[in-house]
Amino acid sequence: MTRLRFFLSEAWEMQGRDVAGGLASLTALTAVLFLLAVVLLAGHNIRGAARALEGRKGLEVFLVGDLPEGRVGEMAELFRSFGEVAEVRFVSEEQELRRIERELGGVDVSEAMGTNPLSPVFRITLTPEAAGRAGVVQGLAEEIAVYEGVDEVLYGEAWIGSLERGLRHVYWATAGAGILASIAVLLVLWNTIKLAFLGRRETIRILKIVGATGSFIRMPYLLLGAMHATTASILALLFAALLRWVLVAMMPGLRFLPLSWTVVFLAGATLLGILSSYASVESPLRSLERSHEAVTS
Amino acid sequence: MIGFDHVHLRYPGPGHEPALEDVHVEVPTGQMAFLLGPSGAGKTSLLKLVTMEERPTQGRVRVLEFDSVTVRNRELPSLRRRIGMVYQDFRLLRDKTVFENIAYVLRMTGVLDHPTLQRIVLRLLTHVSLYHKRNHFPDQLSGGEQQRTAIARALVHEPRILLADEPTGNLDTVSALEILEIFRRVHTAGATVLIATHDESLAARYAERAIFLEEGRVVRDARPARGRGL
Repeated sequence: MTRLRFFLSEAWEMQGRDVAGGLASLTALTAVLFLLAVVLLAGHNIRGAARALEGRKGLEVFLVGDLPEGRVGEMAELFRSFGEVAEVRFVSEEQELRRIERELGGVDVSEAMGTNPLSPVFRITLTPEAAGRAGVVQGLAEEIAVYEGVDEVLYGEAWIGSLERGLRHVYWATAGAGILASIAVLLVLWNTIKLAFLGRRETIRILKIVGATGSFIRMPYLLLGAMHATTASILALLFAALLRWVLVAMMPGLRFLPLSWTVVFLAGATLLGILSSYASVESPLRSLERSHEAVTS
Repeated sequence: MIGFDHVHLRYPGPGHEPALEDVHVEVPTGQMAFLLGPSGAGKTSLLKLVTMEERPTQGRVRVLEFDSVTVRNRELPSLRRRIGMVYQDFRLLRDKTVFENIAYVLRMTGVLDHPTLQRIVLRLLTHVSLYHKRNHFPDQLSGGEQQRTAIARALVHEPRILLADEPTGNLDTVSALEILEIFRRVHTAGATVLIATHDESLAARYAERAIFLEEGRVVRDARPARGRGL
């Protein structure tokens, strides 16, 4: 612990030597991470809304009209046995007709048409897990469509297709923003830490001569990078929370990032800070080891 | 013990003359030896081979139990902690006080508790007569005082070898003699001392052995009786 405190105080001292540079780096990192937090916030809320829609995913399995009662029961049991299925409800053509007549305000459709044109139908709803997976409803529809006695399977191809495409776009946009933000964080910190290192080049040369190990020299820079990235990510999350607080008046139900995302955001930024610091210090440290000073005598 | 076995050194890059050619010298444990020669003779290069900042192009250098042929980079800090190094330009950390310059080297090896640090550093500062300047920054010190700080730093790990590269080059005669007196005390305590200088008068006063270099070659290896000239 004492050793860590020593390295932290070294990192802090290094920061104190270039306050303007440190602030510039912190501002740039905060801006990048804030944009990422906004993208994540938008993605999280879009996914939340999509999840509500996914609850409506289901199948309507229309049957041929003259199926024996026993076969209908068998089919219901079969559909219930599918792991993706939460509920199977059978609606006979008479029940369906009565529902339509009720919706039409009591019009006698069968009398008007002379016959009942409707088919018996199974209304199938999916489990939440299956509803959340892309392509499940389509696959299930294709599987059910081939059973004997099934006339047609409808599942709202158009809106489910749009929803899944939209979710894929959100996923790729979030991943893209994450990658771009990571690159930006790496570059900003790589540059900041390298400048800090080169600013102390002579000191480091002296430390090497008196027997400092690479890890002793490297550690304060790694901590400095981690400090920058952690501080910037905390600030970015605070600004994102502020933005959500402002927007929630216009968009009720807008949710902040879940705790697990926040922890991953902070840990990821800190890890990036350490990695970029390591990368920026490693090369000049090695070149310092092999550099040939002017021979004085 | 420091041994140079038929050492050649040529710095990389075009146009460099060989810095050292076929140097074959052994400095036994506990000897106080001087490397003498004009600028460019190869004195600094020889010292850099001891700290293994440079490796010979040909031949081998043996320092304590380390061998330039087999030593690994990760062993170099361990070697350098057993060698004290003093330079003409002092190479002090300008933003740290005299106390901190020495304490920093101790912290590097994990000595972090303040009472131990204080005990070791203040003992060393007393040894080089700088106790009263412990809170001064290098720029507030004279050349001699800076060099004494550098010596205290070099002695912090109680090294078995002390190397000095033109340690009196920037000092007046009185300061130079003070520095050499400190080196003599270190030598008396049992350390091997190797000093590169072009000042033959100092060498004549203190050397047990004087190794003369010219254009990268050892041209004379003298063992003068102290005070009788080279």
